[in-house]
Amino acid sequence: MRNPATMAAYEDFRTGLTADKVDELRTWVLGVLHDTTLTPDQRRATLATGATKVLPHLPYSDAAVAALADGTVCMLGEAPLPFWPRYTAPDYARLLARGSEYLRLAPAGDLHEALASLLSLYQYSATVTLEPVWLGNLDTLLEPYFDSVPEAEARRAIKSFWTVVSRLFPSSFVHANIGPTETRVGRLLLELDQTTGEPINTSFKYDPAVTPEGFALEAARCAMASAKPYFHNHAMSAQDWGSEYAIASCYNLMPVGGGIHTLVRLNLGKVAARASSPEEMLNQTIPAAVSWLCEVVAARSAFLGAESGFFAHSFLVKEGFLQPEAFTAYAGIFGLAEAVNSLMGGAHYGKDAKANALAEAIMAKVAACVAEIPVPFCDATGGRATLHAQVGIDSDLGYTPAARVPTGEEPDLYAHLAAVSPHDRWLTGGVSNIFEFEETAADNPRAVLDIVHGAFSLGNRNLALGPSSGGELIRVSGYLMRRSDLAQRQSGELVRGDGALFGAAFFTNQPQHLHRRVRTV
Amino acid sequence: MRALVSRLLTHSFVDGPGNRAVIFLQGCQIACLYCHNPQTQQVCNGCGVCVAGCPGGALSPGAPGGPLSWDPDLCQGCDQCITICPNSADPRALSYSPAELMDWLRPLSRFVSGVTVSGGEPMLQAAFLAEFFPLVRQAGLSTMIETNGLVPWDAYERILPWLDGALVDLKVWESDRHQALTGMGNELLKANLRRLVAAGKLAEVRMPIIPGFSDTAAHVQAAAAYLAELDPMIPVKLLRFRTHGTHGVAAGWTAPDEGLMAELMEVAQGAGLRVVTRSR
Repeated sequence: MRNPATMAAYEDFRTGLTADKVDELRTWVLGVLHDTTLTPDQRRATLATGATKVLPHLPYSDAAVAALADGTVCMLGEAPLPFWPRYTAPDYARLLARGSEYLRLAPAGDLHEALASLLSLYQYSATVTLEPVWLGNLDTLLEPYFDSVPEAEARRAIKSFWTVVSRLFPSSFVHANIGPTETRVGRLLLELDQTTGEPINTSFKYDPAVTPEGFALEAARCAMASAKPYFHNHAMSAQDWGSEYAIASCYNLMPVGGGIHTLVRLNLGKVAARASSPEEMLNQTIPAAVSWLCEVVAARSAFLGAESGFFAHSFLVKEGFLQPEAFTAYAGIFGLAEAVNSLMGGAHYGKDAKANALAEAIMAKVAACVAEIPVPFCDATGGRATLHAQVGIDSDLGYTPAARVPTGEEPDLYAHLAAVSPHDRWLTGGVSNIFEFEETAADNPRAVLDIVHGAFSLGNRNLALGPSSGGELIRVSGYLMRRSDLAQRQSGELVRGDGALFGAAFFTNQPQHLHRRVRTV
Repeated sequence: MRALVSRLLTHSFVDGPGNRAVIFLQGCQIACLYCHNPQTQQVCNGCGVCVAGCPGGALSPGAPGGPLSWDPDLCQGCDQCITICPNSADPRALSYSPAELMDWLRPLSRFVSGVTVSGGEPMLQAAFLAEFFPLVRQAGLSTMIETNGLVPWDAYERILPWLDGALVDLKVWESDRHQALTGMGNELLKANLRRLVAAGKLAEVRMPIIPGFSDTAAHVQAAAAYLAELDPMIPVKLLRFRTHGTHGVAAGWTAPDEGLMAELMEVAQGAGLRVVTRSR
């Protein structure tokens, strides 16, 4: 049993690789070896992922395997048996304060040592990309070291650090956090992003009651120049996670010192296709689908927590940079728009009040079902999986990322925010919606903040704001890529990093996302 | 008191500080050659000439002596009525009470810094604003006007207590050239600028750079020197004339180029103004 759309030809949920498929595996390996559009590193990573798929998957129920096979439930290319977590958010403050025995690093004495320690630990991130998905709350981490060297030197060092991070870890799922308080390092990073535009994902933890206005205006200017940072509703996420939380990868929330075992997602559009009415969807179809989803999440979390050996042997755990009790797992959703539109027969999500109400009811039901099913090794969230609005992948043809309104059907700005924001209270694992503004918005960052404040007041958790055109950085879905990389990849040239590969495939398969509604100002 | 409203805009990033809800009032006492919204100048007198020409049948006679009645549901948005009207007036302007405008504003208030009343010329309806602005302030929002500055001062005085700031156009420095461009001299404008500064209500002066009227260093120098003497911190914005959306003679004019805009900006700064910006 396999999913032909997303799985390798030799892969099978129940049997793993069988003798009759060995030739197919060889052909595939040879193809990767000779794929001149991939760099050597990219070929190695592809082969490594492919190797794990010779194994059978965990023994899921027949119903769960059927849902996996037809794409109702999707594992996003994770290995059949998880050997390390999907995402981690190491406690970098602990590293800087105490050093690391395993890495033979002393406590950081000045800015240069702090940066060297961070870059060292990043190399050992145990994540799905084998690159760090979280760089830390860089401003508060580095601010105490800012005066340890002359200011000009500090600025040069941080600028070089930013360049090196971008070159060493070009996966695009590398995510830095700044805010909510103002620091010189935070200001410098916003300054650098307006000029150099490294495609490192960045979130601005923003709380209008705490964040100085001038700092927030700088973040708004930066967003209108380079499509980052995200404006993240700090008050809301601090309420959900406590003040020490990380925003990693695309926009994924977890405790600092914790992580996410696995991310399995539910295609709500395909779930809805199994229901003949909104009532059936809410009362029968969603509970069944969420039970398959959480079965897979639970089995994978159990394997990782109890059998993989990761928590028993990783120095990240031994030295306290990761704590098992700060972990959880994601139950993801996407295709909310298709679920609503197919069940409404005419009324559209984003545009019609009835459709929006159904969207809210669906999300409430999914959240309630997820909250009922125990998942092991999810101590960070009370032994339950965490709901996450998954951002979509290039092969999701016909299904809208996360809980978004489809590109091309976006309503007016205020109506759009009012339609999507109510879901965010349930999406504690992360969510985003993308809004692109005319270039003149860059002249009025205060107006951008007004929109953010309005959205937050509606319960919005996270906004991806950017210019409609012109910038070198473009938001693919949850991550950024360089426009020049897109052109390069599309013409068959080599590009650095998965972000450029995934992004180019995303825009090639789903070119409508290059034409999001421009918010005129 | 009711206002005659040409258009309501739920968001604007270019009409004052922050995101603004904008109310365009119908009626203007001048007629700039380059006006981008000439249909807002004249107020419908109810003559009814346009009624038969409306393809959707959206127009019908209103109260005697008043404007026509307009049914938005039947309107096709073709603008035929404005073309037919001997005064180029827009019969679709709607009448609002302060409370009705607040009903429109309330759901937007979470997204905006405040309200900007533009036009037409908003100060021609100052009596209405004197009732409306206190309600806006009570809702926690700021109040701005976009004015040509050519209305007698007592109108401004009526609204000053509830006004956060005025965005004022200074189109041409020489009064006779101002008259040639707009139909009115600008002595009143110059005096009103001085009074607005004294009242602490001058938020910004906009200087459109109009080919053949205000695209010279001499014009910008004279205007900027006057403003700088009032207060060097007055924010001044040079607006590049755009042909797009103009009608009649102005449609044939050429927009000032980057080099000229940059040069005029330096002139304005050289004259002592400290906060000079320009449109893109």
